[in-house]
Amino acid sequence: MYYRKILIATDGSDSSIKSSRHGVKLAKSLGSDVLVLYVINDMAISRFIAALIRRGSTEEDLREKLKASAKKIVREVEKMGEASGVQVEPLIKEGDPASRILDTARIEGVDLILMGSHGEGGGISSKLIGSVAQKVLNWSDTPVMIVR
Amino acid sequence: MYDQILVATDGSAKSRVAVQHGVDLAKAVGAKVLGVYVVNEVVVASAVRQLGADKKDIESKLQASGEKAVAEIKKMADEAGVAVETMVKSGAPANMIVDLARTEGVDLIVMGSHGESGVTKLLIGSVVQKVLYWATCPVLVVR
Repeated sequence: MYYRKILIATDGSDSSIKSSRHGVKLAKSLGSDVLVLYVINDMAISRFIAALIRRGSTEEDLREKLKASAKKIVREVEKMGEASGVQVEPLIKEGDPASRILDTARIEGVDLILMGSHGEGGGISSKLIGSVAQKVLNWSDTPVMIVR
Repeated sequence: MYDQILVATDGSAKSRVAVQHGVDLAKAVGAKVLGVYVVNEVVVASAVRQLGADKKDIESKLQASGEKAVAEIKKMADEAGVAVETMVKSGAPANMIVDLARTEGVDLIVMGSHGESGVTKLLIGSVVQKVLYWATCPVLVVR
């Protein structure tokens, strides 16, 4: 089987925890390695920053908090890997989530991208697809598995 | 992992790549392949209305290309030693694929990002888009 390396994109939402679990299970049955990627959305940072500065917080504080929460989220997937004997390498990046997912897939030479249909942006409908997943599907040369 | 993988084809070269992925994956996880081609009844209706085609004639032509497309899936699966069942259905492709996945208890749908009418490299086709909207099981999209 040629899915040697699977990129699991996560954002810590319930839906992505479920899809990550699916990804680790698939990696286990195929004997693949996993890269788990969390992207700190810099658009989200710029949206919060004004309000934070008003409250006496700094951009640095916010970045630290986001990094800490990102680490916790990828750690969850690492734990899934440890529990099932799958090698999971954590990655945390900053930028536009879809672009970073696509870059990472290319740079790391992954064979499959796996992600949930909706992220933490909140899927208002269970019947449609989130904007990050949509962009990845539109632009990826690598096979993409969407797990609802 | 997966017991049954639905592999959708429209007979195009692009969907052949997706079929290969589906068959290889089925082999790796020990799943059975359900190979599906849907005779697009919208295409039939517009061919009749706009081009004055004979309905029976166009249906039987599409049925024949469907049979050929699923025979290819069967051949690939047989060569890989994977259990396979094929069907040619008639209807709206996305709806039919999603319905079949549900009624047949499929664990994964595999399809190409574009069908035979795909003109752009960079976006995804309307059938796969709808399947992604409506499917309740995971969907693997292969470019």
